[in-house]
Amino acid sequence: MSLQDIFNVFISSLFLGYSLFLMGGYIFIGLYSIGELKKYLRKNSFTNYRLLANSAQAPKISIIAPAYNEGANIIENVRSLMSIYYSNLEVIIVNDGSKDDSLDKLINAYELYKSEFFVNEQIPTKKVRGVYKSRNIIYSKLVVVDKENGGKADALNVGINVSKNDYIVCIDVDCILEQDAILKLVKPFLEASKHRVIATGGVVRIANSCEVVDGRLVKVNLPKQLLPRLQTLEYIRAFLLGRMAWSRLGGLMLISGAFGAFDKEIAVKCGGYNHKTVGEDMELVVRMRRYMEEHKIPYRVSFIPDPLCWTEAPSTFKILARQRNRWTRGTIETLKLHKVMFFNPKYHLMGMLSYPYWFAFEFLAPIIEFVGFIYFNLFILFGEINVNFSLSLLLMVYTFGVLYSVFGILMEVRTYNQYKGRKDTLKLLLAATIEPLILHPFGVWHAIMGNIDLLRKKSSWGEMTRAGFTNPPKKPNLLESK
Amino acid sequence: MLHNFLEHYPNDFLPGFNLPILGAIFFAVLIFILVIYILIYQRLIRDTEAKYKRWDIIADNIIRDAIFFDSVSAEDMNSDHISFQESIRLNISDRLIRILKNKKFRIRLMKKILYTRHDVSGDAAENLTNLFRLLELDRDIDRMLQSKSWYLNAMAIQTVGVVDLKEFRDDVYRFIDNKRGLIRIESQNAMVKFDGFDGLRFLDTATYPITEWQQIKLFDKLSNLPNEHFTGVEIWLRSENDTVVIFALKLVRTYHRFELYDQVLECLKHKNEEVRKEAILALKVLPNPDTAPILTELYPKETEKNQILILDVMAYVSSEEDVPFLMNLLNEENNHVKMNAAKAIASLGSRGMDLLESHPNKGVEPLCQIIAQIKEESA
Repeated sequence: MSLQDIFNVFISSLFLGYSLFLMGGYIFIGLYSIGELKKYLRKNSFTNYRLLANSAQAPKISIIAPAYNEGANIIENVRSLMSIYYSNLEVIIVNDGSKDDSLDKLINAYELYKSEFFVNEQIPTKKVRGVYKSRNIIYSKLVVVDKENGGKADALNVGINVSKNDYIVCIDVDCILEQDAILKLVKPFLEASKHRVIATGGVVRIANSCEVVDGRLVKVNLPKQLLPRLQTLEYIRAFLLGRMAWSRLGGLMLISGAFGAFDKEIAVKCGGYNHKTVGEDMELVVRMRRYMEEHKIPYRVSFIPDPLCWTEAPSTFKILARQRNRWTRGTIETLKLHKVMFFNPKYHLMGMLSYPYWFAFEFLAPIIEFVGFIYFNLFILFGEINVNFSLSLLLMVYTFGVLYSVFGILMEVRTYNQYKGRKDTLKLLLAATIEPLILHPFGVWHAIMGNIDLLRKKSSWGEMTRAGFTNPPKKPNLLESK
Repeated sequence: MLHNFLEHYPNDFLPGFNLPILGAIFFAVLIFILVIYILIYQRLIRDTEAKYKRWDIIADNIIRDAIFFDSVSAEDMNSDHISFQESIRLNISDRLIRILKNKKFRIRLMKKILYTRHDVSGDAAENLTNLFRLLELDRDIDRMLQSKSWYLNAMAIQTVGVVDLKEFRDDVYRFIDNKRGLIRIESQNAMVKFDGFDGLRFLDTATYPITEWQQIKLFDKLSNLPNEHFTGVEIWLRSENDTVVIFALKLVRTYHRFELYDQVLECLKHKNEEVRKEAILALKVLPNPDTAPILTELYPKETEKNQILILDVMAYVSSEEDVPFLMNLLNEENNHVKMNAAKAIASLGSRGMDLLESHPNKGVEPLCQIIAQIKEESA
């Protein structure tokens, strides 16, 4: 056996071993999530959320929604937030230096005046130009902050500085929340006994093609367009299986930036959102966990499997590419910032399992997949490997991918069953068969591009264009680089 | 070489097949089974939903009859007095008798009565309890309480409490310190429902934490009871279970138990920061001339979080004598401390505002902005 042969066998075994390792991981996650979902649904049937909404003992919450050039829908979006069912609530809209007429529209619609407000800058941010409150008592919950443009993380930090309450809920202003979303998100903080709950997150679902009236979701539909439909499937898998299993393990590292609640005291002690990364949502959770580990304070990051928040998914490849590119950069930046935790027993589960998992499954997976793909193709080209065998290997990986998606659909049907019609289910099942052929390779490619962009020190969010739920004309969203 | 390795390794596993093909076939079979299962399951859901709709009509009818049964009207309209039992029995259809044998229907009916019972009171509530017994749903409760499933135990206990099935009181009490949180909570709630404030006596011996969520639930139950002079708080304020002390302090605050002032002061020495926090908050509603000097003395020993809270309470209890202490805090680094100290000074009225305006740093940030905010808020 020549040296080259030994090398080839080694590399091939590595790829095979890695594939089997990934499959094992997914099987574990899929099966492990079942128990947690069942337990949650049963426990939840005992909860009367109305109690929390009206109780004087309920904790006070501040919702923070950053907005950048949201003029087209800002009035409706704020109205939707103001109608949230929770009495001890403050809604903070942070206008992140919008170039459009967002602020003027808010001032006129909600009878705002520039108030004398002292902003306690616990977290350093860009300059706050003014804090606006309403003269109308109906809008007494509303606080609008106008600041210089500094990006989403900076806007959220301003919101934290302005917030008066112990818990903060950070959301994207154009998200549609379920009526009881805040109640469900807050409850885990109140159930903590031995552990301090530092953050909670809920399931984000895709709202494309859903019926939305006055900022409320009135009918759930499966997206009509292919790309959002494939992402629907992806979200079901990620939230219902992945995050549920991690929550059960106690190793959840990510709470979606679209909707998550945090213990403000810990968030402030950690220094708030990091505006130097494009993955500020994941980075904050990781930093908060790291802080708790380093200070030896027992803690938990909780996750709610109920669909609480609906968001519009990219419907074009161009916008999706930017999103995936950014997600990759955010993941790598976070992993890099907290590399001290990698297989570090001092950080317990976080260091020994969560971090290595993210490193292997989220960071390395697309790279190894991409390199492996090229490697095997080259071998086929040079006749070093049997084509039939390669195809059968590919088929096995493909069928596994489909199986995992079908299992995700099964869990969705058995729990929330949002897409009730047989046609919708069949469409979703069909999507499961084509997702590994379209969305997955696309995601891998743009993850590679994300790696390259990171090496080239690109740090922009990339503009996202959304069609909006109520107004057909396209509008730019809040995402702009500094 | 690689070719041989990859081809021969799987062939050893099963002649004629390679491992990836076997794997692919295995996964494909699983996909097929799951797809069939999903489609059948969704069909079953649709059928079940249709059946439940029919059941709900029957259940709603009998519940409505029970809620709106009026014994006085029944007496007026008929020379012979019709009892509740007779009236309901007359309305029980053959169909209802038939489906009452179905365990799932009984559970569904039980839940419906439970939810309805949450929202009604007086005669209507009592009628629902009677209906529950008349339909012999209490037999299921017995079975559920004996079950090994935590879910059934908790459901039975919740039903006993909400539907007010006093005959199960002792059965439920044995779950009062159960290791399962949900069972424990439902049992504690049931006790408060049965015995009012006396039902809180489980706190005497509670070993598990009383979570904030449970405290909210207990307060909700207590809010429906007449405000009476309940006993036991002094014991709970000395409990070794910190969450019991916290709950007791909230009771002191909510029910203004002035006579427990000294015991609350004792809690200021507690080792748990959260307990001290609740004690400070309780002092806000227990007017006493000693409070301000006690808090100013406590201030330097407290954590930053509790110091800010002390200043918040000072806005309600401070007097002229505290001005030097508060004015001194305006020079602190911490802006939150500055803000709360300024608010406490401003709470003294126009004299307080004059003091703030006379501060040497009144024109310097951040005090300048703090004073502006306070002036605007008090305008």
